[in-house]
Amino acid sequence: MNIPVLNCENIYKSYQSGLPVLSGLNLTLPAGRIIGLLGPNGCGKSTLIKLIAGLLVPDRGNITVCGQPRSESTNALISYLPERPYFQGNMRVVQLLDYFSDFYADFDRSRAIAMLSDLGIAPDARMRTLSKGTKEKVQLVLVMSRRARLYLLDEPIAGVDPAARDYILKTIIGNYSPDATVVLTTHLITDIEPVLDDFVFMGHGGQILLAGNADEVREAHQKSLNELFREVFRC
Amino acid sequence: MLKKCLKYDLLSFSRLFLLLAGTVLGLSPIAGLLLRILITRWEEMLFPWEILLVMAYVFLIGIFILASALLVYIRYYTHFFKDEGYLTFTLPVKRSTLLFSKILSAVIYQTVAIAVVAVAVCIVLLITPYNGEPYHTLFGAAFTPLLRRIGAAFAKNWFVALLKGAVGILLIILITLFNHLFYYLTMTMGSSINRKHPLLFCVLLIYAFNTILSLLSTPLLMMMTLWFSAVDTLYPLALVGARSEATYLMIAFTVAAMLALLCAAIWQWILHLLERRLNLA
Repeated sequence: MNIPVLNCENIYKSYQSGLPVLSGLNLTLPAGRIIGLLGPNGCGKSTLIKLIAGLLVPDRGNITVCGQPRSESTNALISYLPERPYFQGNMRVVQLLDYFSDFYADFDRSRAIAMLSDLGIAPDARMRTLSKGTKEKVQLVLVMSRRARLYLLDEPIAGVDPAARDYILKTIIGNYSPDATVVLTTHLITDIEPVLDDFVFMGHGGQILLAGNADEVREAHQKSLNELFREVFRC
Repeated sequence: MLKKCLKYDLLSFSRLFLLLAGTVLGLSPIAGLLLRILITRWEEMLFPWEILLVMAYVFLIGIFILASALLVYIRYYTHFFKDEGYLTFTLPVKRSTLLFSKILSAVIYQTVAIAVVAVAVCIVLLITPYNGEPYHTLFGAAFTPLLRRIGAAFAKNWFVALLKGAVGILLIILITLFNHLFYYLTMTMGSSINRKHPLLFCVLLIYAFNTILSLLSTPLLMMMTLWFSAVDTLYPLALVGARSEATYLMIAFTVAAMLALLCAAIWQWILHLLERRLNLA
């Protein structure tokens, strides 16, 4: 039996202001897919990603990862890339490799070193001396060098140059495994559309407005995902 | 995972800490020499700048002690509630392990800081004379009677002496733990209450808790005094000699038990906030 990589059942989440961000979200993601989680600003994409990553706890509902209830142990199955740099500024890149090697048994150090070399990033550079874009590249390299079951990439190509963007998307495809699923959130739909297998259009309150196989929906609607997005979320 | 967390917690500001510790220790012989010159040539008062230098050294020790504590608390705050928290709380490590590692690293740094200051002061006093006698002979004069009293206590009743020693050490550990947990709690609460101004709320909470503790301490001390007086009068006359030992131990163990309960409650409270109320910027 194929256990879904992610199952979110009846998820409710509000912040301290009382404003509900997710109201009764249900989402199941199979293994071996690259899925775009797309929606307008404030619809709850990042909140959902944080709930799955364990940074937030749902007010109601259940989240299971590879059939296991969400907990610290499922963090070993999830590789999370937030939209901001999250490393200590005085650490060197090589120290970050050590850090990931220590905490994640599935971390492939040689792969990370190869990717850093491809991107021209010196291993002995301190994080605080790197530009914002380079920091994001380092972060992405570390996240994608893990053999995780679920990759959560929150705006992975927002702050990088177009050449690096292509490299990142190539890396995402190259990381494909029939056991693993990649979930991307982004506003740059045109750039990621070629790599997506499936997509989810999420509306405010976490409502799933449209979801499915990217190729099939493009075929059925005779439109690109970008055009479909503009149509569905027209202001 | 605890060992790994502890390794990175200890390494996080080890360079700055070792630099400060090295400076304190390295300058201690110079401070001792300056103090020696000051004392031996006091009537001449030819070198007033030496007074300033010795005062600067004392100030440096104060900065070192303060910095050791502050670095620990800054590490806690940045590792949990700033952008680093996005990595920290997505590691395959339990929140209780992360918290325990922070407390353990705080205790280790505090212990090392105290040891460094103690060694530095010893070096200064070993070089400095007092009334023509080196200070180290005064150590002997101060510590020998203390050691004799400890020896006498063990000879009289080794079990009671051991209990007294153990409860003393237990109280030091619990007070240290309470101190760190208290500041961790206020930072955690400040962060969960307000994401924009967490440190402001942290300071307000420290003030609020200290005020509450001050208000509660007087009635609490009165109750404890009444309790121990009542228990004290129940001792039969035959045990008068043992009454003071037992009273001391009872007070000490009661205070230790209350501190332990308080530490456990604060620990649970922090864990609850980290698990349910994490509020990263």
